[in-house]
Amino acid sequence: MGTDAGADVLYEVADEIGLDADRFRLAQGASFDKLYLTGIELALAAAGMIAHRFLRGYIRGLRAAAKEAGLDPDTLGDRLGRGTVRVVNARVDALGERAASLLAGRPAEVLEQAANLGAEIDETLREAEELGAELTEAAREESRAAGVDEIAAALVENGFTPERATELAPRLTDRLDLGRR
Amino acid sequence: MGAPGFADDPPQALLARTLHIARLLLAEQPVQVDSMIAGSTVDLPGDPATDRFVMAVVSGASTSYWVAEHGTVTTRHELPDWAEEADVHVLALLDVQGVALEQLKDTASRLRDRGPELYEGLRVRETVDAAEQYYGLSDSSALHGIFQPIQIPVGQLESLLASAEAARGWVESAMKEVRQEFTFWRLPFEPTFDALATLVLLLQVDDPRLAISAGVLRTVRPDLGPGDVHVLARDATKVREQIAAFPITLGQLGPPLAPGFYALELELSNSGGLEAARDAMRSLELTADRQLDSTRRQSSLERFYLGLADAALHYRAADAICAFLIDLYASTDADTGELRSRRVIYEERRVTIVGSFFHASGLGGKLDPTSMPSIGPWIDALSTLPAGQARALVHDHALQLVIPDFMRDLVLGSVWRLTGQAEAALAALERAYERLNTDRSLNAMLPWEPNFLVPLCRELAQVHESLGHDRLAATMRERATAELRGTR
Repeated sequence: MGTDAGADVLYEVADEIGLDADRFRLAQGASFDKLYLTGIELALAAAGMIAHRFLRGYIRGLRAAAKEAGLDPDTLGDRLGRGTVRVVNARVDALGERAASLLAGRPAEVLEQAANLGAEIDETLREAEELGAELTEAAREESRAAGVDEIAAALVENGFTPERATELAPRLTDRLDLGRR
Repeated sequence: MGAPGFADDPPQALLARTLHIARLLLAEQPVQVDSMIAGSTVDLPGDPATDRFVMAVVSGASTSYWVAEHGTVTTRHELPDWAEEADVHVLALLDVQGVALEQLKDTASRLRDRGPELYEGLRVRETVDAAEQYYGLSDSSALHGIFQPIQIPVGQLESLLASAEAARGWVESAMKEVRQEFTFWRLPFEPTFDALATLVLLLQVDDPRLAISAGVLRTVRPDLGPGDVHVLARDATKVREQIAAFPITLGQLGPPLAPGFYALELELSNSGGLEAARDAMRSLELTADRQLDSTRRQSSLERFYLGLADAALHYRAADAICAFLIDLYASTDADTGELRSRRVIYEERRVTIVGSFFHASGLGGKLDPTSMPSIGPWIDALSTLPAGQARALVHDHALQLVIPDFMRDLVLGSVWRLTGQAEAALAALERAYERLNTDRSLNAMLPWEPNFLVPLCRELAQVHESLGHDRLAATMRERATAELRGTR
């Protein structure tokens, strides 16, 4: 959309997380005397972190499913000529670092980087999905559920109650999908 | 953008304006409302050379600083190292008194003349009276004397305490009443949030009779100490005796609206008072979070504000319990970090919601989402910005609860149309259309709100036209006309 189409996926997740994004800021160590009131920028940065955690859980789920199917989890993607699990994992780790640095950084940087980060998330989500091509539909669904669980864990780490995290995690995952249409 | 608003329907415009000003006055400390008006007109003269400035916000004896540095604004209690006292711009928050109340009385008076049915139907007189009483109080302790949201008729006390079910039934019914009276502009924020906190806490124990008895005893025997209250409260006969000896002139008892009192009484009688307090705090927070989730997706702008009011009340009630727990643990080694973080969240949510009410009141010259003449120029201004910046601003307004989601999509669609991005405009407008059209039967508009389907269908017609979808464009134009005819 517009000149920042790459940011679509981040905006979808940011809209869903809404004001709850402020919990991410508190978990980053904001003090009572220095509160950053940054609205959408904070929500976009939190969205980057949420996408990263989903991918982490999703790939962990894929590896577990591969092992269960008698496949070598480290060679997922190799046989079909896709990006290998090692490459995708490295991308996911890099996304995590970028999202964390945005959360700890200045609001203006978030808007500058939203389109690029969103495009990278899009691409990494696509690659992660391709890794599951050798697996059954049920295995891919289980992997998605592992991604949802990972988001819930991230929310709890950031001060959400377990009940609220369980409510929000599937909705955030749906928004990750929606933002890529 | 078309304006099917209130130009030809002044009584409804007056009603909307009256209710929105009243909402702000009843949801915030009145003196703060005037401060908001004063603050919204202050020019913030950043130093272009250094891209930073400091403003001292003075309220009574306390001073805090808004510090802007390279695009980041922080609030702190001490001057940053780089700032000199001489460079600080001072904003005294207590310069004006009564501006908002005068506006409320003025619009209500005009409504009474021009739309007496609306004035009577919405019980606007009671709303103005509540705001006026609230505004007239300098001491918050007087609030409990004037606004007593929980009353127990003495004649019903016996049946109320007859069983745990009956007691819970009374608590639930009182809770519903308190929420409704606040949401519909007849009670101020304070002490209503204490009432809600108290009631939700009472619901956390299986049998609230002991706590209710303690509350009643505290009312009739304020001289009793905590140790005596909970002992007496266990004995129904003694409770009856104490009440019988109390000169009750109005036939009603107003138990204390202090969640901490009930938590301590329950704790002293080994009924898990502190656990109940924590559970009540979490329950209030969860209800508020869910209320925000649903209200921002509302397809009725006025129901959006009703939902926000209810959410703000729940956050503030949660905050009241949280504050009690922090105070309680202050003299111990207990780690209160988590509780303090919660208070920050609760207060920020409340402030955000009050900010939304301020926008809707039309008092500060800011964007007023209830007014088409205010939305149109905002869209025009947004369409002159780079797309990424415009998008971030609109989403930020939705995130900060200034506008509901359907209006975010309507505004974005209009901006994209004006900037020649027809496909993006169509996607955003169709999303808004889906929200307004699908939910209509469930979330009907209230009588004093504009019909946003009119401008939305007009926007859709123009976008379809630009994309060569002539039939769809004609359909949308017809729909806009039909909606306009149906508009009050």
